Amino acid sequence: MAKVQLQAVGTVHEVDEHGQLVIYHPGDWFKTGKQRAIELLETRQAKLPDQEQVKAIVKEDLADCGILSLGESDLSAIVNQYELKHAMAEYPKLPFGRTLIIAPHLTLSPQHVAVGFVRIERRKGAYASWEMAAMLRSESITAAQIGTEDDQKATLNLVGTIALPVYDTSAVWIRKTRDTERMVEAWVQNLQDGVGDEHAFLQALYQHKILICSLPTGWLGRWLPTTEA
Amino acid sequence: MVANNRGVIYVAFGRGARREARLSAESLKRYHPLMPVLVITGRDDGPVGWAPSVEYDDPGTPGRWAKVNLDRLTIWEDTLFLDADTRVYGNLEQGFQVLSQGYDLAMCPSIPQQAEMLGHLTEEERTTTLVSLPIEPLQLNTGVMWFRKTAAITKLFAEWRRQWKRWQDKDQGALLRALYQRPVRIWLMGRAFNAGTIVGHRFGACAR
Repeated sequence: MAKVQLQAVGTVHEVDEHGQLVIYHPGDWFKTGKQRAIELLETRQAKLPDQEQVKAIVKEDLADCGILSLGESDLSAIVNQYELKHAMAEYPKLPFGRTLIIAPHLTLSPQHVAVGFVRIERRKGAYASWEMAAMLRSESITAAQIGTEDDQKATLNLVGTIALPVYDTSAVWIRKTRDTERMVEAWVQNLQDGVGDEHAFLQALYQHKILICSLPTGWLGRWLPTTEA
Repeated sequence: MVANNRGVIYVAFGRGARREARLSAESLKRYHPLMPVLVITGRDDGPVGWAPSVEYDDPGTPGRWAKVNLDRLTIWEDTLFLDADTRVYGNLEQGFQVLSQGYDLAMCPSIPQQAEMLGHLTEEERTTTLVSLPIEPLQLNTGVMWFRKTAAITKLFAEWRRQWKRWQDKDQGALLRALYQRPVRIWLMGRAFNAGTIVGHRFGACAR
């Protein structure tokens, strides 16, 4: 994989090719893989002197990516930053190679979008790559505590338990595969049948066995740098 | 491969762990009286209570080498691994049902997440793990795991062993690093199944 040369802004820890921890101090130059470079750049832990270079690296990686908003959303800043594709629809679907499906009220930044997409990138030469990334809604709330009685009963009949964590469906990154297309179709069918968001997603997910990278609760909000460049 | 194709496996090295595994297996029996159980234990330690046992080596932090070799040690197609210091308070069929649905692995997220995650590792292993992985992975607790012997699980466990050998200490950081290299189909179970109302977890009891 081609390496990207970055300059450390803060103290950056990296793992070298021998698996050893290497520490770079502010101002140090170092090389790293593209995925890691995007994360370091987007979280302001590293920089390139030329912001256009940063954009070029990320844009190249996100060439097959787009955002699908399930309602009106002002995404111009994000879309323009990386020349992402954008679509709007009433129900989830997968119009792009990698799609971020978002609820209309969600506040996002370009960093969120980019890092999420990197998570589901198909990795060349890898045995398998994550097909979907989604946050857990809560560390304590389970499927037994949300939704209608009918929703809970349906999930219980399907899975055998509702002592299950639920997912936050306001932001779901999905790579288009045969399995994820089927899962999304099932998700939509559940929604159209009147099932609540979380149970609709959970039931579809269970039935279609996606390689899902579950993200911790509140993942979107926490690691974002507090100051913009 | 045995006829009923499923069972529960414990790892118990040392007196404390062996005591806990015996008590855990007794609690399991109240809800699953016919579920076969196997205990992995030390050489010349003998059986743990009524359950059959298999002797195994125990390099590094006690019990971890056996845990990362569970795919080789289990005799069933579908296996539930329980930490010795767990107690069963309810039906565990749901996890096996998840495997029948086609998932490779069912387990629970850990209680410590975010800034507290992987706090039980050495500083070097923790930092290396967090640097090796994408931002803020979800930490998973390996104390209660259902897994099916699939090609994906075989590859995951092989990578888990490789990762564990780097520090030969705890196993959860190694699992996260292994999962990043070898994703599998994981179904998350709720906290009730690990340190909850269906499976209790007496963290640290094996050391007493």
